[in-house]
Amino acid sequence: MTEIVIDPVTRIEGHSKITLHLDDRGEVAGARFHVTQFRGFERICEGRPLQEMPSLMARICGICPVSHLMASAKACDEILAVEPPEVALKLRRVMNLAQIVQSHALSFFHLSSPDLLFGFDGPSDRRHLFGVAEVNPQLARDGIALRRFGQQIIERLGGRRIHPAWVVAGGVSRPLEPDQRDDILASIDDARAATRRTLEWYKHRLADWADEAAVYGDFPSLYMGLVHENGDVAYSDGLLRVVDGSGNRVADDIEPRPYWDYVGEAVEPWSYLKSTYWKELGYPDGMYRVGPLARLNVIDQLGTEEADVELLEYRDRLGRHPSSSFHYHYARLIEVVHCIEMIRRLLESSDILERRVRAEADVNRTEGVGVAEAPRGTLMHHYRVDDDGIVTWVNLVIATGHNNLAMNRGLLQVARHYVHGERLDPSILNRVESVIRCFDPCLSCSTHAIGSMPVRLQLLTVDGKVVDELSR
Amino acid sequence: MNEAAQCEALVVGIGNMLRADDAFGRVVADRLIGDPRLSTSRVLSCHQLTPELAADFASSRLVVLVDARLAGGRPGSLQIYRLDDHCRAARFDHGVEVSEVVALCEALYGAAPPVVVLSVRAERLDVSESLSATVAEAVQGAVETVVSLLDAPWGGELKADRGTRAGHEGHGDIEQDAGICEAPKWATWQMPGDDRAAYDA
Repeated sequence: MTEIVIDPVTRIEGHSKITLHLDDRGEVAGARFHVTQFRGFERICEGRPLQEMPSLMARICGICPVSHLMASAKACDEILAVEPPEVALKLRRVMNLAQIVQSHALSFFHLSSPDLLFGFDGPSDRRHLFGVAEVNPQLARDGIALRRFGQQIIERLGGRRIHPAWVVAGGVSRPLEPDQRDDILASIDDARAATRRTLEWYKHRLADWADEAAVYGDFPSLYMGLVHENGDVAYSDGLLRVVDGSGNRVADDIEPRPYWDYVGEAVEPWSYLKSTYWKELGYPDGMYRVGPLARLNVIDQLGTEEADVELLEYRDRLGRHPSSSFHYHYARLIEVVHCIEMIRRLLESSDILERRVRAEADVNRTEGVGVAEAPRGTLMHHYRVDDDGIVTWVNLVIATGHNNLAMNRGLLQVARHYVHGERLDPSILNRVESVIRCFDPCLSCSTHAIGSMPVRLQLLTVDGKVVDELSR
Repeated sequence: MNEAAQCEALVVGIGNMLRADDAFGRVVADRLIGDPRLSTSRVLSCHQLTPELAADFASSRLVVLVDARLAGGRPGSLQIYRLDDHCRAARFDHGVEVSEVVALCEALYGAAPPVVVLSVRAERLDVSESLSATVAEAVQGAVETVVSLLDAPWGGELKADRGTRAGHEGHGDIEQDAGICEAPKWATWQMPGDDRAAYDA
């Protein structure tokens, strides 16, 4: 057995490596996506006051801090047993939608568009943002514009682009001011135009990527996401729905709270990333996907006019429940259309400037679960506190962990298709990496291995020979 | 944030607020936000440089970047230099340098404004929410320096008449004497109490 190692994996958020295991004939027998960084927030939070949790948890990630704010605040709401004012829920939604726009823009434009523009076998020295700027400056400008759009909304609401502390237990810390609302509304048309241009560009070229779509993580799986009662997509509230590859509802309208009844968490010794699975099907057969592709598969409709027109076209082109992970890219762009429309709708609602934006309470429960849709998929925060509101236990189930089994499966599919023999050329390396990019994993968010931290300790001689080894 | 569609100058304070003196640029920026002397300017306080800043650069006639540096001069000393014309159009990887933001600005928006970097020599960069006493003393000097820079007669065609100075490739790469710039041809201005573009706070 020979091992090929790709380390680090590039153009993703966080640190990881890939190993490919070849059999005696030089064919790929196995593939693994290893997350090599560890954060440990579940332990760091123990002993902290509950009120600190949203801001503390936002520090998990510089890309999607708002998602952690959302899930954390919801878990805290549950522990306080409060219902935030309606306007606070709307304002939280605006910030969450803005973050999805900026995060999707980062994934699509900055990380993946070089592959889409130059081809997955294209010259590696051009596959970066400067290469995109040179060949298609409008695409690069639109990427920058959309990311700024999302970041500036977060900054206007929360005071800063990264790690805003505005979402708090019971609501938000400050109401929206009229000039803030007007500034955001004034920027919407440009963001919408940038999204439209990009979506048209993408659809026009979709057929060019048929080969990739066929092997980039194309397999049946379950899909999970939050859905409103009327079948609209839900990012900040709603109930969980799980469908299979044919669209059959495996579970519907289920409260996220007892997630432990239906979601299992497995730990492998070769990664700090947990692998979650649908318990009913066991591990690893209970593989499911979350995030843009999964959300579009589980919902009936998005719930805004322009995005739903795009969703219909998407389903006409790809089928009702597309199974290729390559289509995360397309799904991501449609979600951006929806998020921009929904931001406008929320900001134009008559009560958006109301001043009472926070419900106050003390600890009324000792356990709480908060669930929201992060850009990459369903995010769960689960806390226990003592009677004084001091955190005693934390469990985080992160979108990238939900996708872990599917990422490894997609990696194996791509590796088997493109890797033959013991040599890798740069284009193959990029193909192996790019299937991971479809999922847009966020590794700093997701390295929360349950139980004991997996560690492998090797004792090597000076010439690299392993003389002893211990594993935990 | 002071914001306008097209502004005279953009001041960007860069740094990590949890890394002691690395926060210098942001402390200066926070001091400048709301300063009436910067009524036609924008001030941003940023954790790090990102590609999106290229769009902010493009809508400004001058960019002043305030940052901390690791070497050159004694702790607390301020240095100032103008970014070289020949910005390095490198590939973005995990970090972004100011020269790359400028190059991206030029590539996407056709031109880039002159960029002046004002930096303080850090004393400590450990985990802390406070500046060292030495560097904290330099904050007000930096604030006044930024204001005096914005008062300089920058003119309209900023890219065309940019001066050059060899040896300054970009952010974090400043020679020991780099701050001792001769008065550049693209602008004439005086540092507070000195005729040089560098001084000890």
